[in-house]
Amino acid sequence: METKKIVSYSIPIIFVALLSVIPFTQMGSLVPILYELFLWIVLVQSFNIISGYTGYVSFGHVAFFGTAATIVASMVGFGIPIFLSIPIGGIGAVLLAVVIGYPTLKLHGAYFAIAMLSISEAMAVLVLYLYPYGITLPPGLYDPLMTYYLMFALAIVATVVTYLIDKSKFGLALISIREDEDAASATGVDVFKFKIMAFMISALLAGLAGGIAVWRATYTEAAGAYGVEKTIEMIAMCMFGGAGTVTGPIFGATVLYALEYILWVRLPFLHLIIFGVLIVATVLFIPKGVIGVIRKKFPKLRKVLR
Amino acid sequence: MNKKVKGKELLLSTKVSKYFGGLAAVKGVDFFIKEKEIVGLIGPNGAGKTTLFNIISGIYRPTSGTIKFLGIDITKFKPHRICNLGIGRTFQIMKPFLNITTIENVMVGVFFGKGKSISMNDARDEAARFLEFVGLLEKKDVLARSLTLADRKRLEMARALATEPKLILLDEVVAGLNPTETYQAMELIKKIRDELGITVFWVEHVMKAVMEVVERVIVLHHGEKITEGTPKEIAKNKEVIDAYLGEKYLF
Repeated sequence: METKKIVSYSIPIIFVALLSVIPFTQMGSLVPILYELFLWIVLVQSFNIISGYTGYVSFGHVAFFGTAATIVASMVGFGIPIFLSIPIGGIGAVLLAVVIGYPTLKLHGAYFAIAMLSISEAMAVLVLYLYPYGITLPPGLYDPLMTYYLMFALAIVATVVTYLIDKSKFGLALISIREDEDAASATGVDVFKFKIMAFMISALLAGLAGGIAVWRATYTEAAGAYGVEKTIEMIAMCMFGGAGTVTGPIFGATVLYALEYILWVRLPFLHLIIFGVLIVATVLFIPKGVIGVIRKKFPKLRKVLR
Repeated sequence: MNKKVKGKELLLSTKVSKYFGGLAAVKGVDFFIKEKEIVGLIGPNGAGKTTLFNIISGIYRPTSGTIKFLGIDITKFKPHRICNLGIGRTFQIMKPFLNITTIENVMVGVFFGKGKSISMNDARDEAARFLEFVGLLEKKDVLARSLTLADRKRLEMARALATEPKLILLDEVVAGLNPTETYQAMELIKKIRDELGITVFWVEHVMKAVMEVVERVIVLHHGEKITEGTPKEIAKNKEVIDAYLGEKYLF
Protein backbone atom coordinates (compact mmCIF):
# COMPACT_ATOMS: atom_id res chain seq x y z
CA MET A 1 0.00 0.00 0.00
CA GLU A 2 2.70 2.45 1.04
CA THR A 3 4.95 1.67 -1.90
CA LYS A 4 1.97 2.18 -4.19
CA LYS A 5 1.50 5.63 -2.76
CA ILE A 6 5.17 6.49 -3.13
CA VAL A 7 5.16 5.36 -6.75
CA SER A 8 2.00 7.27 -7.64
CA TYR A 9 3.38 10.46 -6.10
CA SER A 10 6.91 10.16 -7.38
CA ILE A 11 6.00 9.74 -11.06
CA PRO A 12 4.60 13.26 -11.41
CA ILE A 13 7.40 14.71 -9.28
CA ILE A 14 10.10 13.17 -11.50
CA PHE A 15 8.31 14.49 -14.57
CA VAL A 16 8.09 17.98 -13.13
CA ALA A 17 11.77 17.95 -12.17
CA LEU A 18 12.86 16.79 -15.61
CA LEU A 19 10.73 19.33 -17.42
CA SER A 20 12.04 22.12 -15.19
CA VAL A 21 15.67 21.54 -16.08
CA ILE A 22 15.18 20.80 -19.77
CA PRO A 23 15.88 24.37 -20.97
CA PHE A 24 19.41 24.09 -19.55
CA THR A 25 20.26 20.75 -21.09
CA GLN A 26 21.11 19.58 -24.58
CA MET A 27 17.40 19.09 -25.17
CA GLY A 28 16.79 22.80 -24.88
CA SER A 29 15.50 22.85 -28.45
CA LEU A 30 12.43 21.01 -27.19
CA VAL A 31 11.32 24.04 -25.20
CA PRO A 32 9.04 25.57 -27.87
CA ILE A 33 7.38 22.19 -28.44
CA LEU A 34 6.91 21.58 -24.73
CA TYR A 35 5.59 25.10 -24.23
CA GLU A 36 2.97 24.44 -26.88
CA LEU A 37 2.09 21.13 -25.25
CA PHE A 38 1.60 22.82 -21.86
CA LEU A 39 -0.67 25.37 -23.51
CA TRP A 40 -2.79 22.54 -24.86
CA ILE A 41 -2.88 20.80 -21.50
CA VAL A 42 -4.19 23.98 -19.85
CA LEU A 43 -6.82 24.51 -22.54
CA VAL A 44 -7.97 20.90 -22.48
CA GLN A 45 -8.16 20.81 -18.67
CA SER A 46 -10.13 24.04 -18.80
CA PHE A 47 -12.52 22.57 -21.37
CA ASN A 48 -12.70 19.36 -19.36
CA ILE A 49 -14.08 21.09 -16.25
CA ILE A 50 -17.16 22.53 -17.94
CA SER A 51 -17.59 19.88 -20.63
CA GLY A 52 -16.06 16.66 -19.24
CA TYR A 53 -17.26 16.98 -15.67
CA THR A 54 -20.34 19.18 -15.98
CA GLY A 55 -21.43 17.88 -19.38
CA TYR A 56 -21.85 21.26 -21.08
CA VAL A 57 -19.92 21.00 -24.33
CA SER A 58 -18.44 24.42 -24.90
CA PHE A 59 -18.08 24.71 -28.66
CA GLY A 60 -16.66 28.19 -28.40
CA HIS A 61 -14.26 27.68 -25.55
CA VAL A 62 -11.54 29.55 -27.40
CA ALA A 63 -13.51 32.75 -26.64
CA PHE A 64 -11.97 32.88 -23.14
CA PHE A 65 -8.46 32.36 -24.49
CA GLY A 66 -8.88 34.95 -27.22
CA THR A 67 -10.58 37.57 -25.09
CA ALA A 68 -7.91 37.37 -22.38
CA ALA A 69 -5.18 37.54 -25.03
CA THR A 70 -6.77 40.66 -26.53
CA ILE A 71 -7.21 42.29 -23.11
CA VAL A 72 -3.60 41.57 -22.11
CA ALA A 73 -2.19 42.81 -25.40
CA SER A 74 -4.13 46.06 -25.32
CA MET A 75 -3.29 46.67 -21.64
CA VAL A 76 0.40 46.16 -22.25
CA GLY A 77 -0.02 48.64 -25.08
CA PHE A 78 -1.26 51.16 -22.52
CA GLY A 79 1.92 50.63 -20.54
CA ILE A 80 0.55 48.34 -17.86
CA PRO A 81 3.15 45.75 -16.74
CA ILE A 82 2.71 42.26 -18.19
CA PHE A 83 2.59 40.62 -14.76
CA LEU A 84 -0.40 42.76 -13.87
CA SER A 85 -2.03 42.41 -17.28
CA ILE A 86 -2.14 38.61 -17.28
CA PRO A 87 -4.26 38.28 -14.09
CA ILE A 88 -6.50 41.08 -15.34
CA GLY A 89 -6.93 39.16 -18.59
CA GLY A 90 -7.89 36.11 -16.54
CA ILE A 91 -10.46 38.12 -14.60
CA GLY A 92 -11.79 39.46 -17.90
CA ALA A 93 -12.32 35.88 -19.08
CA VAL A 94 -14.16 35.07 -15.83
CA LEU A 95 -16.43 38.09 -16.25
CA LEU A 96 -17.13 36.99 -19.82
CA ALA A 97 -18.07 33.55 -18.46
CA VAL A 98 -20.54 35.13 -16.05
CA VAL A 99 -22.12 37.28 -18.76
CA ILE A 100 -22.31 34.37 -21.21
CA GLY A 101 -23.22 31.81 -18.57
CA TYR A 102 -26.30 33.50 -17.15
CA PRO A 103 -28.37 33.11 -20.31
CA THR A 104 -26.64 30.13 -21.95
CA LEU A 105 -26.19 27.72 -19.04
CA LYS A 106 -29.96 27.44 -18.94
CA LEU A 107 -29.75 25.76 -22.35
CA HIS A 108 -29.05 22.07 -22.73
CA GLY A 109 -26.94 19.93 -25.01
CA ALA A 110 -26.61 21.09 -28.58
CA TYR A 111 -28.24 24.45 -27.82
CA PHE A 112 -25.47 25.38 -25.41
CA ALA A 113 -22.82 24.21 -27.88
CA ILE A 114 -24.29 26.34 -30.67
CA ALA A 115 -24.74 29.36 -28.40
CA MET A 116 -21.08 29.14 -27.39
CA LEU A 117 -19.96 28.79 -31.00
CA SER A 118 -21.92 31.87 -32.06
CA ILE A 119 -20.73 33.92 -29.10
CA SER A 120 -17.12 33.04 -29.84
CA GLU A 121 -17.51 33.96 -33.51
CA ALA A 122 -19.27 37.21 -32.58
CA MET A 123 -16.41 38.09 -30.23
CA ALA A 124 -13.96 37.44 -33.07
CA VAL A 125 -15.83 39.86 -35.32
CA LEU A 126 -15.90 42.46 -32.57
CA VAL A 127 -12.17 42.17 -31.96
CA LEU A 128 -11.49 42.28 -35.69
CA TYR A 129 -13.49 45.51 -35.85
CA LEU A 130 -11.61 47.03 -32.90
CA TYR A 131 -8.15 45.88 -33.98
CA PRO A 132 -8.25 45.19 -37.73
CA TYR A 133 -4.46 44.82 -37.86
CA GLY A 134 -4.08 42.86 -34.67
CA ILE A 135 -2.06 44.04 -31.68
CA THR A 136 1.71 43.84 -31.50
CA LEU A 137 3.34 43.95 -28.08
CA PRO A 138 6.08 46.54 -27.49
CA PRO A 139 9.56 45.24 -28.41
CA GLY A 140 11.84 43.86 -25.74
CA LEU A 141 9.11 41.99 -23.91
CA TYR A 142 9.72 38.60 -25.50
CA ASP A 143 10.90 36.12 -22.88
CA PRO A 144 10.86 32.49 -24.04
CA LEU A 145 12.19 31.05 -20.79
CA MET A 146 9.78 32.89 -18.51
CA THR A 147 6.76 32.07 -20.65
CA TYR A 148 7.87 28.43 -20.74
CA TYR A 149 7.94 28.24 -16.95
CA LEU A 150 4.70 30.18 -16.55
CA MET A 151 2.82 27.92 -18.93
CA PHE A 152 4.37 24.88 -17.29
CA ALA A 153 3.25 26.13 -13.88
CA LEU A 154 -0.23 26.85 -15.21
CA ALA A 155 -0.49 23.34 -16.66
CA ILE A 156 0.37 21.96 -13.21
CA VAL A 157 -2.14 24.28 -11.53
CA ALA A 158 -4.86 23.29 -14.02
CA THR A 159 -4.20 19.61 -13.37
CA VAL A 160 -4.13 20.04 -9.58
CA VAL A 161 -7.37 22.03 -9.70
CA THR A 162 -8.96 19.25 -11.77
CA TYR A 163 -7.69 16.65 -9.31
CA LEU A 164 -9.14 18.58 -6.36
CA ILE A 165 -12.48 18.91 -8.16
CA ASP A 166 -12.45 15.22 -9.06
CA LYS A 167 -12.18 14.03 -5.48
CA SER A 168 -14.46 16.62 -3.88
CA LYS A 169 -18.11 17.20 -3.14
CA PHE A 170 -17.98 20.00 -5.72
CA GLY A 171 -16.93 17.53 -8.41
CA LEU A 172 -19.68 15.12 -7.39
CA ALA A 173 -22.20 17.93 -7.88
CA LEU A 174 -20.81 18.66 -11.36
CA ILE A 175 -20.96 14.98 -12.32
CA SER A 176 -24.53 14.68 -11.05
CA ILE A 177 -25.45 17.62 -13.31
CA ARG A 178 -23.76 15.92 -16.25
CA GLU A 179 -25.55 12.64 -15.59
CA ASP A 180 -29.04 14.06 -15.08
CA GLU A 181 -29.77 17.66 -14.32
CA ASP A 182 -33.39 17.15 -13.18
CA ALA A 183 -32.40 14.36 -10.84
CA ALA A 184 -29.48 16.41 -9.48
CA SER A 185 -31.79 19.31 -8.83
CA ALA A 186 -34.38 17.08 -7.13
CA THR A 187 -31.56 15.70 -4.96
CA GLY A 188 -30.81 19.17 -3.64
CA VAL A 189 -28.00 20.28 -5.95
CA ASP A 190 -28.26 23.99 -6.79
CA VAL A 191 -27.50 23.20 -10.42
CA PHE A 192 -27.24 26.73 -11.72
CA LYS A 193 -24.79 27.82 -9.01
CA PHE A 194 -22.51 24.87 -9.67
CA LYS A 195 -22.64 25.29 -13.45
CA ILE A 196 -21.70 28.95 -13.28
CA MET A 197 -18.88 28.21 -10.82
CA ALA A 198 -17.48 25.47 -13.05
CA PHE A 199 -17.74 27.81 -16.04
CA MET A 200 -15.85 30.55 -14.18
CA ILE A 201 -13.00 28.26 -13.11
CA SER A 202 -12.82 26.92 -16.64
CA ALA A 203 -12.71 30.44 -18.11
CA LEU A 204 -10.04 31.57 -15.66
CA LEU A 205 -7.65 28.80 -16.73
CA ALA A 206 -8.22 29.40 -20.45
CA GLY A 207 -7.89 33.15 -19.89
CA LEU A 208 -4.58 32.91 -18.04
CA ALA A 209 -3.29 30.68 -20.84
CA GLY A 210 -4.35 33.34 -23.35
CA GLY A 211 -2.39 35.99 -21.44
CA ILE A 212 0.80 33.96 -21.33
CA ALA A 213 0.38 32.92 -24.96
CA VAL A 214 0.13 36.51 -26.19
CA TRP A 215 3.24 37.38 -24.22
CA ARG A 216 5.16 34.61 -25.93
CA ALA A 217 3.76 35.31 -29.39
CA THR A 218 4.11 39.11 -28.86
CA TYR A 219 1.24 39.45 -31.29
CA THR A 220 -2.47 38.67 -31.43
CA GLU A 221 -5.19 38.99 -34.04
CA ALA A 222 -8.84 38.03 -34.09
CA ALA A 223 -8.56 35.14 -36.56
CA GLY A 224 -5.82 33.39 -34.60
CA ALA A 225 -7.03 34.17 -31.10
CA TYR A 226 -10.60 33.01 -31.78
CA GLY A 227 -9.87 30.24 -34.25
CA VAL A 228 -12.62 27.64 -34.14
CA GLU A 229 -10.06 24.94 -34.93
CA LYS A 230 -8.55 25.58 -31.48
CA THR A 231 -11.85 24.63 -29.86
CA ILE A 232 -12.15 21.57 -32.07
CA GLU A 233 -8.67 20.49 -31.09
CA MET A 234 -9.54 20.90 -27.40
CA ILE A 235 -12.60 18.71 -27.88
CA ALA A 236 -10.61 16.09 -29.78
CA MET A 237 -7.83 15.95 -27.19
CA CYS A 238 -10.27 15.84 -24.29
CA MET A 239 -12.43 13.10 -25.79
CA PHE A 240 -9.52 11.02 -26.99
CA GLY A 241 -7.81 11.11 -23.59
CA GLY A 242 -10.96 10.76 -21.54
CA ALA A 243 -13.44 13.49 -20.67
CA GLY A 244 -14.23 13.80 -16.98
CA THR A 245 -10.90 12.37 -15.83
CA VAL A 246 -7.79 14.13 -14.46
CA THR A 247 -5.17 12.37 -16.55
CA GLY A 248 -7.22 12.05 -19.75
CA PRO A 249 -6.61 15.62 -20.93
CA ILE A 250 -2.85 15.27 -20.34
CA PHE A 251 -2.77 12.00 -22.25
CA GLY A 252 -5.01 13.27 -25.05
CA ALA A 253 -3.11 16.54 -25.43
CA THR A 254 0.27 14.79 -25.46
CA VAL A 255 -0.62 12.09 -27.97
CA LEU A 256 -2.59 14.27 -30.35
CA TYR A 257 -0.15 17.16 -30.16
CA ALA A 258 2.76 14.83 -30.88
CA LEU A 259 0.81 13.31 -33.75
CA GLU A 260 -0.11 16.71 -35.07
CA TYR A 261 3.49 17.89 -34.84
CA ILE A 262 4.80 14.89 -36.76
CA LEU A 263 2.06 15.05 -39.39
CA TRP A 264 2.10 18.78 -39.78
CA VAL A 265 5.74 18.73 -40.74
CA ARG A 266 5.29 15.99 -43.32
CA LEU A 267 1.71 16.36 -44.49
CA PRO A 268 0.47 19.91 -43.92
CA PHE A 269 -3.36 20.20 -43.84
CA LEU A 270 -3.76 16.44 -44.02
CA HIS A 271 -3.38 16.36 -40.23
CA LEU A 272 -6.79 18.04 -39.93
CA ILE A 273 -8.38 15.19 -41.88
CA ILE A 274 -6.67 12.65 -39.67
CA PHE A 275 -7.91 14.56 -36.63
CA GLY A 276 -11.43 14.39 -37.99
CA VAL A 277 -11.17 10.65 -38.49
CA LEU A 278 -9.80 10.29 -34.96
CA ILE A 279 -12.71 12.23 -33.45
CA VAL A 280 -15.22 10.07 -35.30
CA ALA A 281 -13.40 6.89 -34.28
CA THR A 282 -13.19 8.04 -30.65
CA VAL A 283 -16.89 8.84 -30.48
CA LEU A 284 -17.81 5.54 -32.11
CA PHE A 285 -15.44 3.14 -30.41
CA ILE A 286 -14.11 4.69 -27.20
CA PRO A 287 -16.53 7.47 -26.19
CA LYS A 288 -14.94 7.51 -22.74
CA GLY A 289 -11.47 8.02 -24.17
CA VAL A 290 -8.33 5.99 -23.61
CA ILE A 291 -8.10 6.71 -19.89
CA GLY A 292 -11.81 5.98 -19.53
CA VAL A 293 -11.35 2.59 -21.17
CA ILE A 294 -8.37 1.75 -18.97
CA ARG A 295 -10.33 2.72 -15.87
CA LYS A 296 -13.20 0.53 -16.98
CA LYS A 297 -11.04 -2.49 -17.85
CA PHE A 298 -8.99 -2.30 -14.66
CA PRO A 299 -11.24 -1.16 -11.82
CA LYS A 300 -8.33 -1.58 -9.41
CA LEU A 301 -6.52 1.29 -11.10
CA ARG A 302 -9.44 3.65 -10.52
CA LYS A 303 -8.09 5.03 -7.27
CA VAL A 304 -4.66 5.81 -8.74
CA LEU A 305 -5.56 6.72 -12.30
CA ARG A 306 -8.13 9.44 -11.87
CA MET B 1 -65.11 13.09 1.76
CA ASN B 2 -62.69 11.88 4.34
CA LYS B 3 -61.85 14.77 6.62
CA LYS B 4 -61.41 12.62 9.71
CA VAL B 5 -57.69 12.08 9.04
CA LYS B 6 -55.69 12.90 12.13
CA GLY B 7 -52.39 14.76 12.33
CA LYS B 8 -50.78 17.95 11.11
CA GLU B 9 -51.05 19.05 7.49
CA LEU B 10 -47.71 18.61 5.78
CA LEU B 11 -48.60 19.40 2.19
CA LEU B 12 -51.53 21.48 1.06
CA SER B 13 -52.48 22.08 -2.55
CA THR B 14 -55.02 24.78 -3.35
CA LYS B 15 -56.67 25.03 -6.76
CA VAL B 16 -53.54 23.94 -8.60
CA SER B 17 -53.77 24.03 -12.39
CA LYS B 18 -51.21 23.49 -15.10
CA TYR B 19 -51.88 24.24 -18.74
CA PHE B 20 -49.64 23.24 -21.60
CA GLY B 21 -50.87 25.58 -24.31
CA GLY B 22 -54.63 25.07 -24.29
CA LEU B 23 -54.45 21.65 -22.70
CA ALA B 24 -55.16 21.36 -18.99
CA ALA B 25 -52.87 18.67 -17.58
CA VAL B 26 -53.97 19.45 -14.04
CA LYS B 27 -57.13 21.45 -13.31
CA GLY B 28 -58.04 23.05 -9.97
CA VAL B 29 -56.71 20.27 -7.78
CA ASP B 30 -57.18 20.61 -4.01
CA PHE B 31 -55.72 18.07 -1.64
CA PHE B 32 -53.77 17.75 1.56
CA ILE B 33 -51.35 15.26 3.03
CA LYS B 34 -50.97 14.79 6.76
CA GLU B 35 -47.84 13.85 8.61
CA LYS B 36 -46.93 10.14 8.59
CA GLU B 37 -49.63 9.16 6.12
CA ILE B 38 -49.17 6.89 3.14
CA VAL B 39 -51.30 8.40 0.39
CA GLY B 40 -51.79 6.93 -3.06
CA LEU B 41 -52.41 8.94 -6.21
CA ILE B 42 -54.13 6.97 -8.95
CA GLY B 43 -55.76 7.69 -12.26
CA PRO B 44 -55.73 6.47 -15.86
CA ASN B 45 -52.87 7.28 -18.21
CA GLY B 46 -52.63 10.99 -18.87
CA ALA B 47 -54.63 11.87 -15.77
CA GLY B 48 -51.95 14.36 -14.70
CA LYS B 49 -50.34 12.38 -11.88
CA THR B 50 -46.73 12.91 -12.89
CA THR B 51 -47.47 16.53 -13.80
CA LEU B 52 -48.77 17.04 -10.27
CA PHE B 53 -45.57 15.50 -8.89
CA ASN B 54 -43.48 17.77 -11.11
CA ILE B 55 -45.39 20.76 -9.76
CA ILE B 56 -44.87 19.73 -6.13
CA SER B 57 -41.16 19.10 -6.65
CA GLY B 58 -40.68 22.39 -8.50
CA ILE B 59 -39.83 21.11 -11.97
CA TYR B 60 -43.00 22.80 -13.29
CA ARG B 61 -44.50 26.02 -12.05
CA PRO B 62 -48.30 25.75 -11.92
CA THR B 63 -50.34 28.10 -14.13
CA SER B 64 -52.41 28.98 -11.07
CA GLY B 65 -52.93 27.82 -7.50
CA THR B 66 -50.53 27.33 -4.61
CA ILE B 67 -48.63 24.52 -2.95
CA LYS B 68 -47.79 24.85 0.72
CA PHE B 69 -45.34 22.63 2.52
CA LEU B 70 -45.01 22.99 6.32
CA GLY B 71 -47.04 26.16 5.94
CA ILE B 72 -44.50 27.68 3.51
CA ASP B 73 -45.65 28.65 0.03
CA ILE B 74 -43.28 26.66 -2.20
CA THR B 75 -45.11 27.30 -5.48
CA LYS B 76 -42.27 29.37 -6.93
CA PHE B 77 -39.35 27.54 -5.35
CA LYS B 78 -36.67 25.86 -7.44
CA PRO B 79 -36.39 22.06 -7.17
CA HIS B 80 -33.24 22.09 -5.03
CA ARG B 81 -34.81 24.42 -2.47
CA ILE B 82 -37.87 22.21 -2.26
CA CYS B 83 -35.56 19.26 -1.70
CA ASN B 84 -33.64 21.22 0.96
CA LEU B 85 -36.94 21.95 2.72
CA GLY B 86 -37.74 18.26 2.91
CA ILE B 87 -39.44 16.82 -0.16
CA GLY B 88 -37.58 13.96 -1.84
CA ARG B 89 -38.72 12.24 -5.01
CA THR B 90 -38.12 9.41 -7.45
CA PHE B 91 -38.82 9.54 -11.16
CA GLN B 92 -41.19 7.42 -13.22
CA ILE B 93 -38.61 7.34 -15.98
CA MET B 94 -35.72 6.54 -13.68
CA LYS B 95 -32.88 9.00 -13.57
CA PRO B 96 -29.98 7.41 -11.71
CA PHE B 97 -26.55 8.98 -12.30
CA LEU B 98 -25.53 6.14 -14.61
CA ASN B 99 -21.77 6.57 -14.88
CA ILE B 100 -20.94 6.73 -11.19
CA THR B 101 -21.21 4.01 -8.57
CA THR B 102 -24.33 3.24 -6.59
CA ILE B 103 -22.88 4.65 -3.40
CA GLU B 104 -21.75 7.84 -5.13
CA ASN B 105 -25.32 8.30 -6.37
CA VAL B 106 -26.56 8.23 -2.80
CA MET B 107 -23.71 10.47 -1.60
CA VAL B 108 -25.09 13.26 -3.80
CA GLY B 109 -28.23 13.12 -1.65
CA VAL B 110 -26.23 12.97 1.58
CA PHE B 111 -24.15 16.02 0.62
CA PHE B 112 -26.74 18.23 -1.00
CA GLY B 113 -30.11 17.19 0.42
CA LYS B 114 -29.60 19.35 3.47
CA GLY B 115 -26.41 21.14 2.40
CA LYS B 116 -24.35 19.33 5.03
CA SER B 117 -20.63 19.91 5.23
CA ILE B 118 -19.22 16.53 6.14
CA SER B 119 -16.14 14.67 4.99
CA MET B 120 -16.10 12.32 2.01
CA ASN B 121 -15.67 9.31 4.31
CA ASP B 122 -18.55 10.27 6.61
CA ALA B 123 -20.77 10.83 3.58
CA ARG B 124 -19.78 7.41 2.28
CA ASP B 125 -20.70 5.77 5.60
CA GLU B 126 -24.01 7.54 5.70
CA ALA B 127 -24.79 6.64 2.09
CA ALA B 128 -24.02 3.01 2.93
CA ARG B 129 -26.70 3.13 5.65
CA PHE B 130 -29.34 4.17 3.12
CA LEU B 131 -28.18 1.51 0.67
CA GLU B 132 -28.54 -1.04 3.43
CA PHE B 133 -32.03 0.25 4.20
CA VAL B 134 -33.21 -0.39 0.64
CA GLY B 135 -31.23 -3.63 0.39
CA LEU B 136 -28.62 -2.55 -2.11
CA LEU B 137 -25.51 -2.51 0.06
CA GLU B 138 -23.73 -5.39 -1.65
CA LYS B 139 -23.88 -3.45 -4.93
CA LYS B 140 -22.44 -0.24 -3.54
CA ASP B 141 -19.37 -0.16 -5.78
CA VAL B 142 -21.16 -1.15 -8.96
CA LEU B 143 -21.81 1.49 -11.63
CA ALA B 144 -25.48 2.48 -11.58
CA ARG B 145 -25.49 1.69 -15.30
CA SER B 146 -25.22 -2.03 -14.63
CA LEU B 147 -28.10 -2.25 -12.13
CA THR B 148 -31.32 -4.08 -12.98
CA LEU B 149 -34.64 -2.26 -13.24
CA ALA B 150 -35.66 -3.27 -9.72
CA ASP B 151 -32.30 -2.19 -8.30
CA ARG B 152 -32.44 1.13 -10.11
CA LYS B 153 -35.79 1.79 -8.47
CA ARG B 154 -34.28 0.98 -5.10
CA LEU B 155 -31.34 3.24 -5.84
CA GLU B 156 -33.69 6.11 -6.66
CA MET B 157 -35.40 5.57 -3.34
CA ALA B 158 -32.10 5.43 -1.46
CA ARG B 159 -30.94 8.64 -3.12
CA ALA B 160 -34.19 10.40 -2.25
CA LEU B 161 -34.08 9.09 1.33
CA ALA B 162 -30.49 10.30 1.68
CA THR B 163 -31.75 13.87 1.35
CA GLU B 164 -33.54 13.22 4.67
CA PRO B 165 -36.99 14.28 3.51
CA LYS B 166 -40.12 14.70 5.59
CA LEU B 167 -42.20 13.76 2.56
CA ILE B 168 -41.17 11.41 -0.22
CA LEU B 169 -42.86 11.38 -3.61
CA LEU B 170 -42.68 7.96 -5.23
CA ASP B 171 -43.50 7.88 -8.94
CA GLU B 172 -44.44 4.35 -10.05
CA VAL B 173 -41.84 2.46 -8.07
CA VAL B 174 -43.64 -0.86 -8.61
CA ALA B 175 -44.52 -0.70 -12.31
CA GLY B 176 -42.57 -3.27 -14.30
CA LEU B 177 -41.47 -5.38 -11.33
CA ASN B 178 -42.10 -9.10 -10.96
CA PRO B 179 -44.31 -10.35 -8.08
CA THR B 180 -41.43 -10.93 -5.64
CA GLU B 181 -39.89 -7.54 -6.37
CA THR B 182 -43.32 -5.93 -6.09
CA TYR B 183 -43.82 -7.45 -2.67
CA GLN B 184 -40.36 -6.26 -1.56
CA ALA B 185 -41.08 -2.74 -2.82
CA MET B 186 -44.37 -2.67 -0.93
CA GLU B 187 -42.61 -3.74 2.25
CA LEU B 188 -39.98 -1.09 1.67
CA ILE B 189 -42.60 1.63 1.33
CA LYS B 190 -44.19 0.60 4.63
CA LYS B 191 -40.74 0.57 6.22
CA ILE B 192 -40.04 4.10 5.00
CA ARG B 193 -43.03 5.36 6.96
CA ASP B 194 -42.84 3.03 9.96
CA GLU B 195 -39.10 3.07 10.62
CA LEU B 196 -38.00 6.43 9.26
CA GLY B 197 -41.24 8.29 10.00
CA ILE B 198 -41.37 9.75 6.50
CA THR B 199 -44.70 10.64 4.92
CA VAL B 200 -45.25 8.90 1.59
CA PHE B 201 -47.12 10.19 -1.45
CA TRP B 202 -47.19 7.49 -4.08
CA VAL B 203 -48.28 7.45 -7.72
CA GLU B 204 -48.91 3.95 -8.95
CA HIS B 205 -50.62 2.03 -11.70
CA VAL B 206 -50.42 -1.37 -10.07
CA MET B 207 -53.73 -1.28 -8.21
CA LYS B 208 -53.15 -4.35 -6.10
CA ALA B 209 -49.97 -2.88 -4.63
CA VAL B 210 -51.39 0.57 -3.91
CA MET B 211 -54.64 -0.64 -2.43
CA GLU B 212 -52.82 -2.89 0.00
CA VAL B 213 -50.33 -0.35 1.29
CA VAL B 214 -51.94 3.07 1.37
CA GLU B 215 -54.35 4.51 3.90
CA ARG B 216 -55.91 7.04 1.62
CA VAL B 217 -56.25 7.34 -2.13
CA ILE B 218 -56.65 10.44 -4.28
CA VAL B 219 -58.07 9.83 -7.76
CA LEU B 220 -57.26 12.05 -10.73
CA HIS B 221 -59.07 11.88 -14.05
CA HIS B 222 -58.46 14.22 -16.97
CA GLY B 223 -56.47 16.47 -14.65
CA GLU B 224 -59.23 16.82 -12.09
CA LYS B 225 -59.56 15.23 -8.70
CA ILE B 226 -62.70 13.13 -8.92
CA THR B 227 -62.65 11.71 -5.42
CA GLU B 228 -60.58 10.57 -2.48
CA GLY B 229 -61.02 8.11 0.34
CA THR B 230 -59.84 4.87 1.86
CA PRO B 231 -58.95 2.09 -0.57
CA LYS B 232 -62.23 0.34 0.26
CA GLU B 233 -64.32 3.41 -0.46
CA ILE B 234 -62.46 4.01 -3.70
CA ALA B 235 -62.88 0.46 -4.89
CA LYS B 236 -66.63 0.79 -4.49
CA ASN B 237 -66.90 4.28 -5.93
CA LYS B 238 -68.97 4.20 -9.09
CA GLU B 239 -67.21 7.16 -10.70
CA VAL B 240 -63.79 5.65 -10.16
CA ILE B 241 -64.84 2.28 -11.44
CA ASP B 242 -66.22 3.86 -14.57
CA ALA B 243 -63.20 6.06 -15.11
CA TYR B 244 -60.48 3.70 -14.36
CA LEU B 245 -60.75 0.43 -12.58
CA GLY B 246 -63.06 -1.27 -15.02
CA GLU B 247 -66.45 -2.60 -14.08
CA LYS B 248 -65.28 -5.99 -12.97
CA TYR B 249 -62.75 -4.81 -10.40
CA LEU B 250 -63.55 -6.34 -7.02
CA PHE B 251 -61.61 -5.44 -3.94
